[in-house]
Amino acid sequence: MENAEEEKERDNTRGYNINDNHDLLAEILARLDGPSLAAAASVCRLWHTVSRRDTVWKALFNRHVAADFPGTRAVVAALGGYRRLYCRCVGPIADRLAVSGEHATTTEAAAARLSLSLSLFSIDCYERLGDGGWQRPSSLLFLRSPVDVS
Amino acid sequence: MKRENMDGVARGGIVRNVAPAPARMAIMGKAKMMGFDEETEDEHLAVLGYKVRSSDMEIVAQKLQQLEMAMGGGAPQDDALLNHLAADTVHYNPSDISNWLESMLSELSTPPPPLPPVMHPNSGVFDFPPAPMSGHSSSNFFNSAETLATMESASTVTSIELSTPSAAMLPADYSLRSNNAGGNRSAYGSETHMENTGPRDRKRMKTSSSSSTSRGGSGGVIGRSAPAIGSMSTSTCGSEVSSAMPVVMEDTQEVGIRLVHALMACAEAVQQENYKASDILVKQISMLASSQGGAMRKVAGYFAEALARRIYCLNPQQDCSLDSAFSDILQMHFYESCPYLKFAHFTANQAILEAFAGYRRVHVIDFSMKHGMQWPALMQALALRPGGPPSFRLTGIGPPQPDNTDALQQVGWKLAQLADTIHVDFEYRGFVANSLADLEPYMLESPSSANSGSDEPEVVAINSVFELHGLLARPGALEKVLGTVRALKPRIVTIVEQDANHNAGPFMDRFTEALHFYSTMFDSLEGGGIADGQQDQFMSEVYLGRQICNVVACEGTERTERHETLSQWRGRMRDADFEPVHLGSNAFKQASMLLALFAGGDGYRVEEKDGCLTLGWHTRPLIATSAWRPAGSGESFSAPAASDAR
Repeated sequence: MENAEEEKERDNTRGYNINDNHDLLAEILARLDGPSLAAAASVCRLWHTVSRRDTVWKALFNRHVAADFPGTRAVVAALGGYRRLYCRCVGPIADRLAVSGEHATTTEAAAARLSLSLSLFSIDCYERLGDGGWQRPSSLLFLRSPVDVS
Repeated sequence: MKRENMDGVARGGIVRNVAPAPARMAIMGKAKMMGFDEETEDEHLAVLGYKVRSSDMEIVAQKLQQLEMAMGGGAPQDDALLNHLAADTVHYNPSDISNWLESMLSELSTPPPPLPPVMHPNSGVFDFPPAPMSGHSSSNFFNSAETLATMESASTVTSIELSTPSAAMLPADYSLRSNNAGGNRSAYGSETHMENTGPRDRKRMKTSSSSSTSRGGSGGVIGRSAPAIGSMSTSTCGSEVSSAMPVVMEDTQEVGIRLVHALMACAEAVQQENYKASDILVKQISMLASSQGGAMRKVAGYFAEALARRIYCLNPQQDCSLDSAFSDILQMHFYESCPYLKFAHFTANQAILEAFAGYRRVHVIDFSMKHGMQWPALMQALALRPGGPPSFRLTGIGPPQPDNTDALQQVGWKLAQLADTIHVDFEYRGFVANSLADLEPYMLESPSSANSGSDEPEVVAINSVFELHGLLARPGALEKVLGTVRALKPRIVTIVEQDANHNAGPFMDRFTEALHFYSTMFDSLEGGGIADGQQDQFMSEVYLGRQICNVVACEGTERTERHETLSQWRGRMRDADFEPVHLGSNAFKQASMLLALFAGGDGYRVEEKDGCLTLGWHTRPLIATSAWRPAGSGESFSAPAASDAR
C-alpha cells in the first residue's frame, strides 16, 4: 500500500516531460545556437522533427542578424526556408567573420551581413534550380573549410 | 707528356665513376708500373672492353668529369633523379664510350645556349617597374631580382679570365679539387663551357669562379654577392653549376630570380625576333620552373607555353565557338574559387540597385550573360525592396553556341523560375551576337507595346563584366558599342574590367606587365584553401592561362585580352560622353565583408578610387568596378535614403 502511494506521489513529483508539449520544446530549442541545435536534432525522432521547424531556425537567424527587412520572411520561405539559409549561409558566414575578427555590432554592419547572406543564399538556390544537370551547386563552397583527411 | 696526362686523368677521373673501382685501380696501377708503350688504344680501358683511342682520352676524360659533376658525386643535393641515373644499369655499346658519354651528358643538361653577344643580361631588360613589396612567392622575385641586377651591374670583382681549357689545366684542378669539391667543381664546369658561352653565362661564371677562388683562398664569401641576397654563398655554387647543368637546386629563391630573368630574356629575344635564342631560353625556363613550387611554377609554365606558342606560331583558332562554351565552364570555376567575379557582381548590383530606387519598371541589359550568376542576388534585393519589387526585365547577350543549344534561353528559364518563387515579375530576352559591335539600339529597346500597360517609365541599366576590353581588338568597335549604349539612354552603366596595362606599347612592356599581373593573381589563388577546391583552383588557373596565352602569343584581331588600366577606361568613357557615378559606401561595405569571408582573405584589399572600387591582392589592384551615366543626364543622383539602402 505504501509502495503504491509512494509511487503515485513519485509520479506526480516526477514532473512534466518536455516531450509532451512540442511547442514548448520548440521554444526552448529556439534559444540554442547553431551547433547545439544540430546536435539536438540527433537526439530522437521527436526532437529531430521539432528542431527542423523553420520558426526555430528563424529565431536563431534573428539573433544572429539583428536586422530585418519587411518581406524577408516571404522571400526566405520561398527560397527554401530559414533552416537552409542558416545552415548554408548565415552560420558559415558568422563563423568565418568571427575567425577573421569582424564583429557586427553596428546596425549597418548587421544590415550588410543580412543582405550578403541573402544574396549568397539566392545564388545558391538559383544554382540548385533547373534540371540539376551540369554540376553540383558550388557557389557557396568558399564558405566551407577544407577537411583534412590525411 | 700526353701519357702523363692520360694517367693523371685516368686515375683521377675514371676511377671514381665507372665501376668497379678497386679492380680498375689495381689494373691501372699495375699497368703503370709495368710501363707501356703508346698505343692507338688506351690499354687501361681496353682491358674492360672500352675502345678508346689515346688521342681521344683527353676528351673522354673531360666528359667523364662533367658527367661526374652532373651526377653529384655524393653531394647532399642529389635527388632521386640523379640517383636513378647513377644506378641505371642500361649498358650502351662500350666500344663507343665517347658517344655514350655525350648522350649521357645531353640527357642531363641542355647544351649551353650559344647566345650572341647582344644579349647582355644587365641591359634595361631588368629594369623592373616597382614591384609590390609583398612577402609572396612570385611577386617577391621581382623585388629580389631587381636588387640582384643592380648588384651585379656594380660588380667589379675578380672576373677571372678563363682561357680556353687546355690539358695542362686538368691536373691543377684535381689538386684543388681534392681540397674543396664544391667550389672547384663549379669552376671546372664553367671552364669547359667557356667556348660556347656568351656574356650571359660569363656573368654566372664570374660568380662561380669568384666564389671558388674565395673558397680556395680564405673561405670567405666575396662581398659582392653576400649582402643583398643572403643566399649567395655555399648554395650559390651548387646553383651556379646548375645554371650550366641543371641539377637539383638547393636555393629556390635564387632559382626563382633566375627564372624571372630567363622569362624576361626570352621575351626580349622574341621582341628582337631572335628566335633561336628564345627557343633555347624557353626550354631553360621550363627546366627552371620545374624546380619551383606553387604559384611561381604555374605562372612560369603558362608564360613559357605562351612564349613557345608565339615563337612557333601555334595559335589556336580563336573563333571556334566551342571555345566560348569551354571558357564559360572555366569562368564558372573561376567564379567559385576566388572572389573576383563575386566582387564584380556584388558591386555592380549595388550600383544598379541604387540607380533603380523608386522606379516601378526596370530593364537590365547584360553584355556578359554567361550563366547569369549575377542576377539572382539582384532579384532577391529587388524583391525585398520596401514598396515591393518592380517588374524586372532582363536582356542577355551572349556569343553563339557550338551545338545549337540555346544556352541563353536556358539561363533565362532558370532565372524566370527563381523570379517566380520570390514573386518578382520577370521578363527575359536573349540575344546571340558574335560581337557586341553588332548590336544596334533598336534591337535592345523595349518594344513599345510593353508600355501600353502602364505609364510607368522604364529605367535601363547596362552591365558589362570583362567584356569591353575585347572590343579594342578591332578599331572602332568600342566607339560603336558606347554609342549604342548611349542611345539607349541608360540610367546607369556598370563596367568591370581588369586594372592592368596589357595593351599599349611594345611587346616587352606588355609582357612585363602581364607577368606582374598574373603572378599576383596566381598568388591570390594559392591562398585559397577551400574545401574540394583543387579542381576549381586548377580550372581557374587554366582560365587565366588562356588569357596569358592570348596576351603573349596573339596579335591583331586575335588578341582580345586587351586590358587597360582604370584611368585609361575612365578616359575612354569620358571621351564617349559619360560622367562617373560614385559607388556608395554600401557597396564598399558589402564588398569588404564578402572578402572577409574568403579563407586566406587577408590578402584581398578593397579600395575606393575616385568613386570606383578596386579589388586587389595586397598592394596590387587587379580588377576595378566603375559606374557611369550619359553626361548631362540632368537628374541629381545621390545615394538613396537609409531605408532603401542595403
